[in-house]
Amino acid sequence: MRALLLLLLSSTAIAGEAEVDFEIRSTASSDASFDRFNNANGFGTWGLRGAYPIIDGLKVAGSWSHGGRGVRTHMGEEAFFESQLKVETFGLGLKQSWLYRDIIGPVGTVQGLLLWGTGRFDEVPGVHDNPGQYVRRGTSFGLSATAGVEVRIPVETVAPAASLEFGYLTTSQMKLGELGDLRFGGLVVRGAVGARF
Amino acid sequence: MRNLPLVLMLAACQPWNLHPRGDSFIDAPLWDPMGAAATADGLYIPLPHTQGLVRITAAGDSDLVDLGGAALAGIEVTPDQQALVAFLSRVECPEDEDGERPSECDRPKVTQELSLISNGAVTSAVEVDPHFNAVEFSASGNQAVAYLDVERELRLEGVINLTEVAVLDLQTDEVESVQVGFAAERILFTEDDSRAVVLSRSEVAVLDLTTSPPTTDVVFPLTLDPDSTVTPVGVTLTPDGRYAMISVQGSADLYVLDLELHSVNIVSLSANPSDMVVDPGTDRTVLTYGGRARVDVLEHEFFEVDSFTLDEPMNQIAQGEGLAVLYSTNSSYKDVYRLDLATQELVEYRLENPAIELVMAPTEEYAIALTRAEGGVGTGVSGLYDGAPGMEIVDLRPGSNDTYPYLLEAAGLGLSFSATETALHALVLQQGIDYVYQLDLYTGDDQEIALSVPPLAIGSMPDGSFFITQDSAFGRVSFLDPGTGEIQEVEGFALNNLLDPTAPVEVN
Repeated sequence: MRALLLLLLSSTAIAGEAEVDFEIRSTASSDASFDRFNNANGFGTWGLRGAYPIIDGLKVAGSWSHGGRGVRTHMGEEAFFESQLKVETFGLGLKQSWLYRDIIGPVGTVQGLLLWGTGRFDEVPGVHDNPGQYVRRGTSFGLSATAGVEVRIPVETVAPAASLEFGYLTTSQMKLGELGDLRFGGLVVRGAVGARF
Repeated sequence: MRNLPLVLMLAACQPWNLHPRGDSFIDAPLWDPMGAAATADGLYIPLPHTQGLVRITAAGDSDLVDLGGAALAGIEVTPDQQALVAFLSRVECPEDEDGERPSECDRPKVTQELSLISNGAVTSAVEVDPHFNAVEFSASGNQAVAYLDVERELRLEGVINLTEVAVLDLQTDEVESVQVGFAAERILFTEDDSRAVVLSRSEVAVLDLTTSPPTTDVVFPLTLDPDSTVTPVGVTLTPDGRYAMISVQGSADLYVLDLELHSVNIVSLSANPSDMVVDPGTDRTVLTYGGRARVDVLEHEFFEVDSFTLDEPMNQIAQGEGLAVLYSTNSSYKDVYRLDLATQELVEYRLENPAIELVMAPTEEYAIALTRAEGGVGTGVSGLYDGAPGMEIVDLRPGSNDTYPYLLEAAGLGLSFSATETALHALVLQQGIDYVYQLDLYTGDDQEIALSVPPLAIGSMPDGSFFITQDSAFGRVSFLDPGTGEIQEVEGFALNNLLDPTAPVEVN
């Protein structure tokens, strides 16, 4: 067993390798404006993040993630309308990792964000083309900073990896037309699995 | 098995599920389709959920009225339909020692403003006690009295004086509290704005509006026995503003108050009147009785009564100039009468079914009665009509006693008129029917105007067009030009500020 472990440790990948992750992320959204879309205070997204080495251990990281939440709003006993918010988030920034023997170690990521949101409101959800459907779109900008731990299985050519990061995210107000503004902000939890090559 | 944690993580996130995953609750609708108020500069509609107010125009625009962070509690249109008076409520924490208003406090302070709104903006505001929820305007619109109407939604905070009203001078934005009787409920103004008559339980107060501040000129007790309660029901003022005539619940006595000599004269009527109106042109009061088949006409010099016998009791009066149309909402009676007050000519009409409501056209040439189904089992045309709701046109022109019955598809809910020099259009709203029926009473041209969403209420704008509020959570109003039949729909206005409702102050 020990021989096998030594063999694994000795077959490390190169330090400046590119990476692709499938990520899931939960962002705090305690702004009361989210109540029309979300009956919880977290907004979950999923997406992809890629990173490319620029100098040893430091990579430029780009990401896209997609999230959607919706609620059925009632007045009294009756369902009144449905609403849904979808957000596409594009990020660009830097990622730094310090892997011990290219297996495990801390990572930190800072990204600037562009968020593109679409709010949909439907008063007769069962009827596809009813006249009571409204779509409002808005954009906002933000910044996220996360830090955590990454684990990489040191095999040749394509190495599987996983990471867990915590951090903070803040954005500007996203104005959804005449509906008003909403703002993401607060703690972020990010989990990812991917490949290093 | 190795992928199980990943699968569980993804399942918890449900990234594929973009449909509603939860339920949210609101305690008020996004807009109030029955509360639309038509003014010269547009249609104002309350937004109960966000406690806001939106103005929409026939051009298709919708603008949120900036209420300065206050919550809308009610609206009233001024008599000239040029503006709107809004009750605006503020809940604020008192200022602390640094002059700041914290967002959380133990005892927030509730204040209320009466704001004048025109062209989509607040133009002036005066502060009144938070419990006042109704306002009556003088005919000129320059004076108003705010009071507590217990029939409306109550906003009771702290200790409330139930014996005062607030007199507002809308020209100078001055407001004064004036003592009147207990539980003021009806207010009338004289034509020249010099006096206001305030009815309350067992008392009638007359306010002198010519003094500054306004004062109570005289209080007339309606009973001298403190153990008995006299509840005023109807009140009218003679055209010269000298006399107030007051009918009281369960009594055949009509109290005639002389506002100048401060005396009370009691006129004995044949029964407790159910409705009364004053005709300024002939200086007479018309009284009808729900339980007696007669109509009385009271002249205002010696208060003598001319009585006319009817075939059936009439409990309602629709008033025109020199004209009174008597009808009954009692399901047993179908007569309608036109009483010409100048000639005292009484003309009888007979409806096919009992009336629910009768509305006189602005030109006073016709009236339309919405009628109820009788559920009869007859045959032929009579049986058909008995079993269906309808509307009947009453020809009020001199020399005619004709009625023209129409079958409706469902019970009539609303009726509105629009008159021009060459056309007189009526618009009829029926329960649960997704079109409105328009009829030109001059030509007989009619059409069913299809709507994308079933209508809820109708009304007319000062420019002669109709507005139709429709069954939509997010707001939908159609403006109908009765001349061309053209419809302009305005929709989605209740989404305004949906994400940022007026934030209440947090109470610790």
